[in-house]
Amino acid sequence: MEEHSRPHTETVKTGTPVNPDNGVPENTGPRRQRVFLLLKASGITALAFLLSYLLTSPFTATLSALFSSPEKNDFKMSDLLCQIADDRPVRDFDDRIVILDIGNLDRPGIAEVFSILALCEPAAVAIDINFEVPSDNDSTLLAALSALPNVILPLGLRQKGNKFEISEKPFFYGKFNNVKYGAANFPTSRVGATVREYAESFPLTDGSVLPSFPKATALASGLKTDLKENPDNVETGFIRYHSKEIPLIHYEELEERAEQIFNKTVLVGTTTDAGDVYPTPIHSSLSGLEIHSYALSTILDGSRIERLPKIIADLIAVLSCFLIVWGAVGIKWGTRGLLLRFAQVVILYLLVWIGYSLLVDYEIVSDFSQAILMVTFGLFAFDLWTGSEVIVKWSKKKINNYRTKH
Amino acid sequence: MKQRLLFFFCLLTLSLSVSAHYTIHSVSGDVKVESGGKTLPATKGMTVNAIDYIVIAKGAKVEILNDLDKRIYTCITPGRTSVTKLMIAARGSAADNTSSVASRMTLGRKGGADNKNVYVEKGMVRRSLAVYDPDGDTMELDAETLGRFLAARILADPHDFSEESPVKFNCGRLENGGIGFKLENTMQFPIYLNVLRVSGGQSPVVEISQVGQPTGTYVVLPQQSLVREHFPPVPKDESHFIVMTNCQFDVDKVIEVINKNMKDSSESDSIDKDLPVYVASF
Repeated sequence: MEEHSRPHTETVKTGTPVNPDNGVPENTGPRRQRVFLLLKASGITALAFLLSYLLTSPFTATLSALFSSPEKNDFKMSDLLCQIADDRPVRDFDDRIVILDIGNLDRPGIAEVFSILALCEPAAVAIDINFEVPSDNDSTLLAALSALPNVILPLGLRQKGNKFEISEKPFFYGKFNNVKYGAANFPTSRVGATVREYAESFPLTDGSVLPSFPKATALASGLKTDLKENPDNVETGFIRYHSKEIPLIHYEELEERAEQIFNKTVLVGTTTDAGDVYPTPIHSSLSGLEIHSYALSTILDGSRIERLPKIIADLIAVLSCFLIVWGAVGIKWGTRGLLLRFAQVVILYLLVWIGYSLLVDYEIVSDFSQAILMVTFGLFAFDLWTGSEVIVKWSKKKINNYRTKH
Repeated sequence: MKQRLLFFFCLLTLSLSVSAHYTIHSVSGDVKVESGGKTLPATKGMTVNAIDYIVIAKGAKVEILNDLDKRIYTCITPGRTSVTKLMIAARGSAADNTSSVASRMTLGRKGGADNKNVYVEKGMVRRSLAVYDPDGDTMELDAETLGRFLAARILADPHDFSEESPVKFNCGRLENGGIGFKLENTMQFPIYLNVLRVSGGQSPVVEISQVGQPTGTYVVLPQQSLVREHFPPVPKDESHFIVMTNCQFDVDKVIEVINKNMKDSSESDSIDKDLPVYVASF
């Protein structure tokens, strides 16, 4: 039998032979072939983009397992980057702030601690405790409070449309002139979600603006801060948890470590209340008091962690996916599959490396999860596309044959 | 060249003459400090100089606080290194983004040795315990952490690990070969305890002791005592030890972790001295 020197070709509706490897019409010039491949790769990239949006949810768990993250209710790429940054062998020791843990002390015990604390001459005292209900012998507590310098107390807020109203306050609210207040709420997507940001201030229903608890503490500390008050919206900033340590003193050690309190901003509260713990990017659970301290430290640092614009992240996602897809449609070697898988791993690593470098070197938080998903789905989309092409062509052929016969 | 030498000499002189700004921030495991011709165990708060040497054993960790730049430098590399070199190496490692990312890009979940939890939230709430100990009801000591700690202690010396007891406690062998203990809680909070035993032989196995509590942990409230005795003789090559904490723990999971870590003895952790656990052998 005569050997065919040319590969078997198929015909499309116009009768033009096409290359079965990539679907490009064979009698077109190289430039037109490239344009055709470019259009095909763009179409597959768009399909990968669509798939990444439709199938995001089940794959966040996969991503968590892939990058060995602790189990979280909501996975964000920035959490992984913060965890990598926190694993570094150098971290900042922020001794501008001291956390004073009062454990499970009752009010007389708290009053006693406040009395000793006043003698240590702190610069400011932010008390993350809400004395909502009066009790017997509160006079001792109130006397001890009045002896403390620059006191900040927390208020709880409830959202009413775009504004907020006070829902939790101490029983002596408004009776002390030397006491300032800050909203203790954390801006999160939902209850129980990871606390990544602090709020600058909250617009109240009465038209005023209430600073957040860490911001009010920063103001009271007298240290220079970069503050923003927005009467219409809640402006937020990223809390820098990674590579940072804030000294913590237990109330029983207060007397022997009094010199560490002098002229410092002290945050008082409890770190062991199971009802006041929240997940953070690097902690599975952290007390609200410590979260406020990290937020305060971030505010005092002055530098703001910026978010990479989503359009840039999406552009990187499209480009990364396009590279993979372009390789899939353009490479004709037998080792194409191996090369593309290798390229996927390299791109995934680069995305994490770029995101991490942006965070630690330029304080830019980026979310390349879309890019990672699209790179992962790129080859899947290519298989879907080419499989669909074959099915469509087979169907057309069958229909044509049927019409020819009948 | 001369200028550089002069600068280096001035720097060296300055570093020797200025009062030390470095302190040991934390220590885990076997870490020693060589200073002024003496070798001392590193302790938290200890002042060190730039030219002092830190000797880190395998599995140990040391953190040095530099009061000048307000930074904490961590080293886990076993060996002998000067304080200055330790900080320089830590800085270099922290600035190396490539290796930081590479160390994290693993496929699959992290192993148990990376678990840093001490307390975890309990999955099940027991109403009776909530009545007995309202504060300690929702939390328990992480079984993985406790198991690794006990495995390290047993591997160090399976027959004798006693330390100063925080409560009034007596234990030992009875005249007829049995075992027993008496405990009086003199603390201000409830204590949780159980008794385990290590079988003899070349491959020791940890199980619940005859005087242990297999259905959970003993809970002894403040100003309460507990006495337990097992009269039949127990094998002499068995060693029994009590584990006492401030929080409940799942004894079955702990035993599982201990046995697993004892089998993988090459990967055992250094003993964490800050864990709120008291152990005493009978």
